[in-house]
Amino acid sequence: MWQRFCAVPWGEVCLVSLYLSVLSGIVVALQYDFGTPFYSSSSMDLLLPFGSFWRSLHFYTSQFFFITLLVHFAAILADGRVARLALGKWLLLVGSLPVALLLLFTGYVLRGDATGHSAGLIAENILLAIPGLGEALNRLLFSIADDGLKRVYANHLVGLGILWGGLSWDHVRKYRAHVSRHGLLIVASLLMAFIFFAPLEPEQLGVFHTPGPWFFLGLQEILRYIQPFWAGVVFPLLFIFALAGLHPVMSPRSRRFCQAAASLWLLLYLILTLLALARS
Amino acid sequence: MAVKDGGNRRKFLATGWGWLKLFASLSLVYPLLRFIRFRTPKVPRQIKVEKTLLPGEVHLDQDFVLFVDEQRVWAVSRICTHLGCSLHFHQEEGQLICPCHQSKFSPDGKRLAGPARDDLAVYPVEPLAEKGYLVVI
Repeated sequence: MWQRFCAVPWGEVCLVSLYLSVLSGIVVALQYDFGTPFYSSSSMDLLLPFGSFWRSLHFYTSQFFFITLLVHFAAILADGRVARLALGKWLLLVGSLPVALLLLFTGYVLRGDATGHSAGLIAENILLAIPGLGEALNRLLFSIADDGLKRVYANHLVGLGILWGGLSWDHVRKYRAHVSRHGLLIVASLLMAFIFFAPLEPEQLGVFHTPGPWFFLGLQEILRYIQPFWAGVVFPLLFIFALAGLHPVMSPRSRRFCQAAASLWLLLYLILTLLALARS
Repeated sequence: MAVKDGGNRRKFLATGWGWLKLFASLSLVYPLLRFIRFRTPKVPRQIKVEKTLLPGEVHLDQDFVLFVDEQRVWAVSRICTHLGCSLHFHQEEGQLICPCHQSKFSPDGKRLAGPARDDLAVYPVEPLAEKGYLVVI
């Protein structure tokens, strides 16, 4: 069962989802206006012919890309394929994971709805909590309070894409994703986009709880109890460091420690996510 | 001997050229950081609320909440001091509540509960002669 799971070409599935996400993203960008983000997103759903289809296709394929990327990481760690990667390359690929998450996250922010708006401002304030570097990082990535979604849009469209490509290029360039082998995935994505509209939540004045994106819920919950720098920066970095330490070049003792740390982190994040869901 | 000196010179020049390129690349970081960190000063915004409120009534704008009682009219920011989410006004509890982490504030902008630590910003309000109010944020 586990072997069959690991035998699935998750990397290829991930790459095909990325291609679909980029292509649908280009189509969406032709009509999207970051100056009026919510109006733009909602008019895409309500007014534009096939607008909701293209927006939903971009939404679902981006989700597939990120989820299958996580599964791909899990599979290569589980069956030992990580040993084929040099340490430097492994570190670059681990670094590409938060960049992929940021790509997905900025997509939520660009919707300009209640979820995206709040999530963007939270992310901005988390960055500002980093001593010394915080302001420069925020000006580089978000700066929503001062500049609206201008920088978020530039990063979603170009900056983060180039950064992700740069970090993973040496790995990705060796593989060819045979689109013809993934007809089922493509048809499923198209059908999903036709049937289920991508979520869009207008601000509701009588609502006193706005849950963030699904992958952000655990972070949103921990931010209630711990200061933004520790909860929003140090806590997520612990997982990234633990993941980096899973490379076979590390001593078995260090690897066992990192494995325990990563597992514990995932368990804690799951509990936090469930707590956040219980509030909704 | 001359060959060895030439080799050393070439090595020195190559190393020096490498350091020069590194220094030139790093020197671009400073103007980049200065450029992206600069905040263009914002012109204070004057927002007109085109309705007159009765004492006890509340007006929710995108950036502020306007309150009126028998003696005065005042506006407080809707930006939560914890992580910047937009606050909502809970009519029954008479409090501003953050939908992200449930920080609570009084209508005067004082922090009451939750992870936020600071009070809300209070903005000056001018009642207009004809109708409505002018809020400067």
